[in-house]
Amino acid sequence: MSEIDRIADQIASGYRDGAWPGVSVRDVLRSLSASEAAAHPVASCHSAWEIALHISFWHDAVRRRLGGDPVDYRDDEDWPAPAEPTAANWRAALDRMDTVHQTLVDTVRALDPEALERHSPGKSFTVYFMLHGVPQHDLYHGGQVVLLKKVSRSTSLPRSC
Amino acid sequence: MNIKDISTLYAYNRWANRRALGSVRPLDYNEFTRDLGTSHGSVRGTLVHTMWAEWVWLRRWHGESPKRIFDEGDFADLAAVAAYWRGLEDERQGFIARLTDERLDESITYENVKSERWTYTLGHMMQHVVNHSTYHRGQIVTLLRQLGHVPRKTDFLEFFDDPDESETSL
Repeated sequence: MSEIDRIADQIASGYRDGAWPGVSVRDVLRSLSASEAAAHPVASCHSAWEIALHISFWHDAVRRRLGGDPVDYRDDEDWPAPAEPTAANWRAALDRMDTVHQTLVDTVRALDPEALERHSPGKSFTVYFMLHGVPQHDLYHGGQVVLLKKVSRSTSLPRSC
Repeated sequence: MNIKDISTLYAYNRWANRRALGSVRPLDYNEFTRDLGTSHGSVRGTLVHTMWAEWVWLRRWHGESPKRIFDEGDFADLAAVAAYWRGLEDERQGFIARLTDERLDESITYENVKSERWTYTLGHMMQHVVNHSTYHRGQIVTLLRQLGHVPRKTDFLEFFDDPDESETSL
């Protein structure tokens, strides 16, 4: 297996099957209703819906950086505001996240191996380093969403002090 | 999986663990040990579970199959957790320093705590450990927010921007 394919597999695995910790950020987000996803069960934490949009933004940002765009961004692009909390809007956000993810994986698989050693546009880190960050980012937020779901469905757990 | 992958991931893991421990430092004992309903109960329970996983996998890489699971009660406070973790990290750094690409492709068979036998390549196991710790660090950030604290982020994007941070050493 080439290094490119190995990294692409890690990105796919981190998103879709949880890469051994066993909880997929995609699946846990899809297990939530629109109202659960829109809620802020822990007062100072982002909602699951915001996390889904954040993941979409970053998968797309990494793809654009692979194409040479430095992707300077504003806070409201890093953490976009969700649409009205309807089932259709939530499904659309999840479907877009899948599409953006798959486009990133396909883009990584098509990379020239030499691209890994180039610097991400305008950044101090390499493409190689950036790509390893994608599954770590998904796992990190996956762990958060699992807790948000638990708190959301509990009547006894603290939501903030 | 090659040495460069592993070195990158474990540099991140070391940085992120220290940041996480630094964020936990302001908690009082009751907050540190309060059951917040996660799989591992409290902030302390989640930290000790994450550290235990890093320990048990390191033992497996050495050909051992320990059955012991850490009891969070054995770690009275954050200083005890941090001290154990620091020793574990140092041992693992020595292990990584002696690795080769060929060694990462070798398979290792071990028994888990239920005495079930499993075989994976060393590289896959080493990737798994960082993935597992990242997952739980995301949870620790959320638990700290449940307790009303403002933790520092430990995700990889932060590591992009501030990889040389040393202030979190414990």
